[in-house]
Amino acid sequence: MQQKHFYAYGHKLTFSPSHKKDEDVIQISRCDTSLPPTYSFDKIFFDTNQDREIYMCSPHNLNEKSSQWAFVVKECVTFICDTEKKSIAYIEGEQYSQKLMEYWLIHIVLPLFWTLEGSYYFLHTGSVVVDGKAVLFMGDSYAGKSTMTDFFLQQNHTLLSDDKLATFYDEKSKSFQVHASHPYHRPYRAKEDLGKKAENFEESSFPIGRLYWLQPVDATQDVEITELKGIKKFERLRYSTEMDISLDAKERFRYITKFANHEPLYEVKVPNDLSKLPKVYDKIMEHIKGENI
Amino acid sequence: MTLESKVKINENVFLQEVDDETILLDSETQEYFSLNEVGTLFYHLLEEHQNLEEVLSELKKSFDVDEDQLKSDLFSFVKALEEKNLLKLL
Repeated sequence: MQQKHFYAYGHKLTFSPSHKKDEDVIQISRCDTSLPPTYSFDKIFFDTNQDREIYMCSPHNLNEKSSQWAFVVKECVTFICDTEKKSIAYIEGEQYSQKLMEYWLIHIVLPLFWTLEGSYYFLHTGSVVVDGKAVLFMGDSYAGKSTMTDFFLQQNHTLLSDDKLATFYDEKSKSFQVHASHPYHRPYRAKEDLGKKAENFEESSFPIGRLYWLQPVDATQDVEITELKGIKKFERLRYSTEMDISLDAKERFRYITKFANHEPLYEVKVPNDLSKLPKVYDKIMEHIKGENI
Repeated sequence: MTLESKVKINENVFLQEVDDETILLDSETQEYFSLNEVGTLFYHLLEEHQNLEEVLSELKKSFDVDEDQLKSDLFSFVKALEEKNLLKLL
């Protein structure tokens, strides 16, 4: 009997064939056939600084809405996805391992799936819970997002994400919220490695408390927090956008500008000196508490 | 470019406001631009009227400046947008 995998949003990747299927669960199963030749219509190549060739293809034009697409990690694993049927079938390649399959599934395929489905808008950010609200750390590559997230975890805050964070607009509360989306923490750099599973990981949704853009500065400078507005704010949010697909570009632009108009963004000048992290932490906490998020 | 010229904003270009600043996104190139208050007015008039003569006539109602200056500013704006492939001169 073919083993079936199920994926619930809280990242409970289970391998039980008796898991009850419902509408919110993406059914993930192994597929013994090869990628159908019809999946050659369009290809979008990804550049994620990986050594592997990775691309998306479909039996349809990927610039038009289609529920069927595939994500290929050459020689490793191919995922055939159907957002309408909520299914992902994977084909094992020569270098397949379950660990690699889960890495690509969690790291790219599922965020892509939910992005194409229109369920979430993903931001590349570290995120923790402070006083029941989500605090997000954004920044350039090597700005210290993971380091800051790690430091907050050490102070017993709960992890929401150390990589991709699902955001959405909640019509009921008329507010932007985030959904915990990445139960792994990786305070180091490694390819095809999810990192270690976080012990204090939260699986529910949270309203957004604070957005911070981490700006590394010389070690001699003070920690400073200032608000960014207008194009500067937009630039940073756009830079932090994950799964930046051209599909639904107008709708996605509307989403991120609405997000920008709802949520203030603060730049934190972070001295380039790890011994000053406690000072940065205190300043951020003071900033959060002082303005009663 | 003359006052009889018609323009058409590229259909891949979208406009939204963030904190009182206007942002134009070219979804094809993923480039984005910021417009100030005057640029935003120019842009909206170009969207609505398409004919530069009509746009100039509307601008004259909003700005108490020399018509030649206004025309020159309008042409510069259109040229800048055209160079960025945000609109087409028809």
